[in-house]
Amino acid sequence: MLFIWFTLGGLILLFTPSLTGTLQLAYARLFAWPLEASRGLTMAARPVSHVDPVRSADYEKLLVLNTRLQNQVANLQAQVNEARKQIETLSRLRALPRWDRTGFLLADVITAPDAMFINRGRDDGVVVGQFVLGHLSVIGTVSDVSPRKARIKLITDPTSRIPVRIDRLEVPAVMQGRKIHLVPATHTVRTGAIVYARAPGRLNGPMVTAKVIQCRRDVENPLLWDITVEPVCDIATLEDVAVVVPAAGAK
Amino acid sequence: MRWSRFAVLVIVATLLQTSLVDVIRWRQTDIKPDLLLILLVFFATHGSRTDVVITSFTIGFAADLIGPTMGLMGPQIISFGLFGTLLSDLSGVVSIRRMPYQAGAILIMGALTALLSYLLTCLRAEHVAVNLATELFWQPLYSAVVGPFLFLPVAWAMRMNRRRPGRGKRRPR
Repeated sequence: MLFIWFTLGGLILLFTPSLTGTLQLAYARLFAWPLEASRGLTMAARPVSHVDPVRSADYEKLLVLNTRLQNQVANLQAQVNEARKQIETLSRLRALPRWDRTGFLLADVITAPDAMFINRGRDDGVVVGQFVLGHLSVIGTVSDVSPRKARIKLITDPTSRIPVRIDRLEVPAVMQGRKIHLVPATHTVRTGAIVYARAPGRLNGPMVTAKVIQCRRDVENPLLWDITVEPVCDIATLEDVAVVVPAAGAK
Repeated sequence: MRWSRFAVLVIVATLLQTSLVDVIRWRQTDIKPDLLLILLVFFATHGSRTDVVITSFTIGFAADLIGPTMGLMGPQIISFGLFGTLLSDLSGVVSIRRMPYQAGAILIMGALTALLSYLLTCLRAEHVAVNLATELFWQPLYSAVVGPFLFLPVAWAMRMNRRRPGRGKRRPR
């Protein structure tokens, strides 16, 4: 009877991998110290394997080769880290509802005194008019493209014009630089209200771009609001951005 | 059976098997004596049947704990338990007192338990990275060479005499 019970126990362990893994790890943890000590003794007692002598010239060459390989490994590691960072950024973008069918092209920011440039251009599929995101908000549009570089017209640029919507107001408006025009004064606009960029066909859904910092009657036309906004993202500190491009396979 | 001594003995054997036994492995190969196999044969030939069932399965459990396949336990419990119990039954018929017979028993038991363990492992694992020649022959052979010499210290540690309890005992006149 005892034999049958033990055999059954063995069969249960055989077909429950989660439990067995835990048991094996528990053993390793419980006896970590004696195992470590005896492994150290084993390493010390093991005879050193015979190694062919290396000539001095060969040794120098091997040292140089070793340094070169270490540098190569370091470079590859940096590239891997960069790729991981890009994957994380893209994952965050795609996690947004309705944005999973949108393509994003990550680009590094090349700072310039009076404008923003990115290290992606026509060769990468960038065209004029595409929206550019920074920290998950619209920061501008592509205004000029060369084969390997593109210029970004920021939303703070006085000549930038983006169709927007303020918070839940179903009133189409246009954001020009730091101002929003054409909002009738009959609507209530509060300070701190979020401003969403709207561009059906180019943006797959509204995307936050700015927030209202001041709202007063327009001096020239008192029937409209004179709204001042500021970007929700600190554009000056951006190191990388994402260009909204047509998704692969989309027509 | 002194179970506390048995527990300590199995734990020590398990720890040694995963570490210090590597010192006496055959050159650069994986061939090394299996202390748990030696203990299995010792207890199977020295204990009562109930004790043998418990000791065999316990030693099998210890062997699975340090098994090569992470997350897979059971093959050695079953194979050690089954063949340990069989050897116990067989040693009631055939005497395994002399060292060559003990070595032979270790060799055969090693091969049989390794074979059954391999087959049971194949049931669960998709790929089994095992050197069959080592597992089925060379390791049991090494254990068979070393094993009989370890029987004496183990018997001393367990305070077990060579005679199986309850069998062949003469009644005092």
